[in-house]
Amino acid sequence: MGDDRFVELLGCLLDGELSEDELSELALLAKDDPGRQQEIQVQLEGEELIALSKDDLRDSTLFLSALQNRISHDTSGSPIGTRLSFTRRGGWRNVLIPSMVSAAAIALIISVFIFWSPGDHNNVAQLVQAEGLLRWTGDGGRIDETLDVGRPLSGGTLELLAPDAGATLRFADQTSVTISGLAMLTLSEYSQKVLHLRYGVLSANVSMQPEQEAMVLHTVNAELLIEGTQFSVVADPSLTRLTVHEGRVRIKRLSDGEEAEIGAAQQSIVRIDDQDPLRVVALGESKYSWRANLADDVAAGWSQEDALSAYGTQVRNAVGQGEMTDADARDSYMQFVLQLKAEARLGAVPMQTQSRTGGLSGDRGGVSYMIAFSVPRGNDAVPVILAENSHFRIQGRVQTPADVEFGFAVLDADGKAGGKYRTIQSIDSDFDLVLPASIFEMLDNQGIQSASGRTLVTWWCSANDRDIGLEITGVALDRP
Amino acid sequence: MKHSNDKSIKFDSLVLEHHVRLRAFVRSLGVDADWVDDLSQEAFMTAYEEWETFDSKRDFGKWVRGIAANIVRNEIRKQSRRRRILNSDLTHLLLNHHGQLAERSLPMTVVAIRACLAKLNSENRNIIQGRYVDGFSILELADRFGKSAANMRQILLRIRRQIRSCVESHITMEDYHG
Repeated sequence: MGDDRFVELLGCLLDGELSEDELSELALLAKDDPGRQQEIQVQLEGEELIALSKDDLRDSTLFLSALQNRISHDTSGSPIGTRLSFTRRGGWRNVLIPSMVSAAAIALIISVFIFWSPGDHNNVAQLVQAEGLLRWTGDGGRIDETLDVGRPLSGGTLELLAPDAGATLRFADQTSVTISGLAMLTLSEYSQKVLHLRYGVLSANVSMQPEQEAMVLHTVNAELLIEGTQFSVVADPSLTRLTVHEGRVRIKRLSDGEEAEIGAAQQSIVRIDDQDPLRVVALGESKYSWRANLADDVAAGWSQEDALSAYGTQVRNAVGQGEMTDADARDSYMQFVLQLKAEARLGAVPMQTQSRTGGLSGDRGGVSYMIAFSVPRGNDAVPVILAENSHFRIQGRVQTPADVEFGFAVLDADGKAGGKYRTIQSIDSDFDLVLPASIFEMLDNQGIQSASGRTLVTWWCSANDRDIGLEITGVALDRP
Repeated sequence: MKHSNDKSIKFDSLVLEHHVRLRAFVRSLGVDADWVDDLSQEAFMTAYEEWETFDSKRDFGKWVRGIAANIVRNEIRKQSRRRRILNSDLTHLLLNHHGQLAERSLPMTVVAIRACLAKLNSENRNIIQGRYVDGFSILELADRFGKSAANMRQILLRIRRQIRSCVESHITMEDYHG
């Protein structure tokens, strides 16, 4: 038996399709061949690395959170079992024993398990607004990217796949939930509203909930209990920022169980690495200016770290191929590092976006090269409001002249649904634009409406070709 | 933190630093994909329990991988229905092979993996998307991309090799930078 059979068995091994006999056959084929043993290990490692990077349910924070819980139970002598199992193509394994994972993970596990169970599915909400590229995973794991407004939703996960996407869900009791920008939200099928916001911006207007059945919203590091209120949440793997506009919301930090009640016009920020008491701060006067932090605010973009990595590989390959000496490579690399340090910048990355009337991606199958920021994520963040005379100052460059789309998304001041606005500008090379907010047009063909008085949540720019080489070196909002 | 003290803070940061390579390592010993996280966590739990015996001048990543290798070794002795490995002969072989190799110790990061995936050409990126996000089988992927199943397997083998090599070179370059 030769290489063909080995490769066939190895491929099947990684696809999880080998019988016990075939596994033994593979072991036999590799027994006296260190090269084949090495290849098996390389393939298994490669498989694991890719799977890890593609599965949000296996990220660092959930892994650490589950480990901390297991250690807690282990050191407290709890007799409760502590085994953890994920299935790659079928969701979570039901042998998982909930006590060892965080509350957030429990809710996610329960809801995901329910979604992938066979049988009837209860519709719990309806999609009442949809814009941009959306993906729905529900009904036994079935994926649907053609979501029409009015569609009923059962348990499942709604993903917004582009910074300019948005969706609003309405529940039977008229509670509405809006997510915008890049976001991922899981709904349970319970009569009680249980949601998991993996990342993104969410605003909700919650009707009074039945006693003992408060709405529960989980993020990676916090749990929110809501009985009836208006609030908004910004979540990512390391941070949850809750802003309450009306009523009260109870927030629990999952790392230590500390709780606080957040009232109207108050805000609380939970960070994954918080060691200090949970803070509740009153919303100060809203800001009318914002300057993008290219490292911290980025939601989509090719960062300096990525550029460094790519350049590192490039010079390394050049050395390997004899095109460059080791000393030259080191000099070149250090010059590149210094150049990056001298000027912070972000490059555009390809993103699938739904074609829009008049948009730049319409004739390219919905692919745009995009840079996007979430606004704001700072520790002392207060809402950034657009004024009548606000303007954006945008600095950057393109390699070739092109039309570039600039856009932003806002929420109403009360946290309800907002809108998205854009303008298309012809750019030649380096640019330093000052664009009044008033020239941006509302995206959903409802005519030009002012964004004045609304909270800025996302900013983006995009071009329709990689070769345009769109880069951003600065974005700021200000008013005279 | 539930186990809040200096030890725990230090330990948590080491977990965040080393979990990616540990999980890849555990899988490379022929552990069932569904049990990789469980077994990796067990290795970290043992490391936490044995923390007092750990010399901080030593390489934590190497230490915890050694613990994981011992846990995997014990799996071989278990009854088949309770095992978390795919096949005893295969794991035995891979454990021995691992023991003969020079130990790599620098941590891997998900950022590095994603940077490497971004460098794939668009067809290969779509194949990875289909395989690891959309969950298509080899036959479904082959059908979608107009290739034979054998060809698709070869392509995936190449991509995995490429990604792993890229991630290693990414780490080396970061080290070089340092």
